[in-house]
Amino acid sequence: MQFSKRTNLIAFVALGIALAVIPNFLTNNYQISIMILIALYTILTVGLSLLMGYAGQISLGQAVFYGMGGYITAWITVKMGLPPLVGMLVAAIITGAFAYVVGIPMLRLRGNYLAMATLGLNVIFELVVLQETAWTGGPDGFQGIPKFSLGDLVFKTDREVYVLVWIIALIVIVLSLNIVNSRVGRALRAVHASEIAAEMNGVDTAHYKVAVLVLSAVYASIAGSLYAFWNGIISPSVYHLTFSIELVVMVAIGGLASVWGAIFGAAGVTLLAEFLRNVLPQLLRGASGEQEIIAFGVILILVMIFLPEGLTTGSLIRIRKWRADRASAK
Amino acid sequence: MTDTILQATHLKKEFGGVIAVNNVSFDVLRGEIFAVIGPNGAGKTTLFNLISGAYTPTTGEIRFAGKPLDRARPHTRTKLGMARTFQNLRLFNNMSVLENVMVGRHARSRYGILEAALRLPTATREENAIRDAAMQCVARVGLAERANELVGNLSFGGQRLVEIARAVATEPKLLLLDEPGAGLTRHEVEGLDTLIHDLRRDGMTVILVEHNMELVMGIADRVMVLDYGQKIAEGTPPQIQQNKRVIAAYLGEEPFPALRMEAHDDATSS
Ligand SMILES: Nc1ncnc2c1ncn2[C@@H]1O[C@H](COP(=O)(O)OP(=O)(O)OP(=O)(O)O)[C@@H](O)[C@H]1O
Ligand SMILES: [Mg+2]
Repeated sequence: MQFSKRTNLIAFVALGIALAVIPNFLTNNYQISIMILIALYTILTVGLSLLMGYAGQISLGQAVFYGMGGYITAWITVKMGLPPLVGMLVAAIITGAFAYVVGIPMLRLRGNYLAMATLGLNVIFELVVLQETAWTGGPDGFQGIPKFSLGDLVFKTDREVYVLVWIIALIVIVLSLNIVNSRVGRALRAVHASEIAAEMNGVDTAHYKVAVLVLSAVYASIAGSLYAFWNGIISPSVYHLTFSIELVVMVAIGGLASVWGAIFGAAGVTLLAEFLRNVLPQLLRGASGEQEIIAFGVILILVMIFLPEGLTTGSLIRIRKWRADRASAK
Repeated sequence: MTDTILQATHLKKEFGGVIAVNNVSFDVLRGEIFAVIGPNGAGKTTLFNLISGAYTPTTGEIRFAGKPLDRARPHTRTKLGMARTFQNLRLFNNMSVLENVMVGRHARSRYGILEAALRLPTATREENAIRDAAMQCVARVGLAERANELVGNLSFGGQRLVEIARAVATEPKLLLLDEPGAGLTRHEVEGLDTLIHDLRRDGMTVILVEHNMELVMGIADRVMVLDYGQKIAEGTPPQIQQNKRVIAAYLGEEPFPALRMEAHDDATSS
């Protein structure tokens, strides 16, 4: 769904204000860490929304780019002793280049085949990370990653990291909204609606599909770097296929072709997951955290049946329709 | 400069066993309206797909403005000055009328992902130019008032016009129209007739695939007839209407019923 520039600006300012105020209400580190996760997932889902919602190309392998960001950053900062910012930038460049190289053959595939190929990529990545112990630390993970810093400015406490990750998330949101409302965004939506018609109207479809994959990979890599700085240790379980799927769920629930939807999806799913993890075992005796996955599945199915455009877009469409109906009834 | 804008030689397209276009050669002259007719399944749309680059010919060659197109992808051909509409509408249903036509400006604008992301002045300036040019094309087909509506809200005839506006927005030298009159009301067909004339006056060459014989015979400078993938005739409208092979190809169904009717009407009224 397209919003006017004014709506976007208002929403953006509102988000900025909310984010500035929220820390005052957070009483413990657990709550702050949830907010940090939401920022990281926002960066990931906004990229995935451009790829999936706008350009119509599914990826079940975003965890790979997230993981590459983390591991390359770890390698550069820990093994090579270079500054965090260098680690983050080099990781983004390498991950982007990698997405470009794998994207050219993969994006010739459509629909389910593309889903399978990206899924395969994720499976291979997990194996490599587990096996190549010398590079990745294997199952024990890669340890001792420094905190992010710019010169003397070190982002050490969770509250400091909160500021860092949300500033970057807001930048990602602005850049993405600008892209969406441009010649490039139109080209992406054209590819989604009809690849052949897009081509015939002068859109180099192959180029744009790869470009948006690279962009989403760069976003994912940046989120991955930020996670590594924050956590200090990264391990293979984070980059499991289920995480890639969770990201797709976030985007789908938020509303596919919507940057704002992606943000709501990221926040909604993260909060819901935490809620279920805490509440489910108390409600259902014997229920473990694992059952949250089932609850997720159920919610996703319900959303897809009743609000196939996603929660944000879907409800907005319904509200507008309701208003229009009411206006025309008068 | 040659007078031939498009030259097809021994074009052939095979799908498995089916030969959809079989050894077809023809020239289209700059500035003319060249119609391609033939019964259902004759290979007209396949011919358009070959010209526009959606398919690669099994054998044969296409030259555009004197240069062989070889395997140039469709978007490159658009940039060179070719545009087409689709028999089965292929609009971008997730966009407004204006946005659809703005996509048509893609080949005539250049700002990329970086300029867009940072909203550099070049991007803003070009974006305004894109919007203005697209709006002109929308107005040209008479849809200015509905520019901001979702394209799916328009009638079938309206959507056909959006297809044409979008193609025109690419600034084509050669415009391929695949059955633009199909499903239009009589009144809408008249508008289409005028529009095609206007486009030609602006210097566009038009290749028109159309079943509405009244429209074709009234507007075309030359007509080529395909049957089972083969070219069976080429000539001026009067020549084609008298051609025995053409009449036979339509197998007893009246090839030009509308014209006969009109001739009859004229005869009785005078
Ligand atoms: N992609 C394809 N794969 C296989 N066969 C095809 C393909 N495209 C067209 N054909 C076949 O080629 C022949 C010509 O089809 P085409 O669509 O070009 O005809 P047409 O002249 O445009 O017909 P109509 O007037 O009905 O639009 C038909 O027999 C059709 O089934
Ligand atoms: Mg056809």
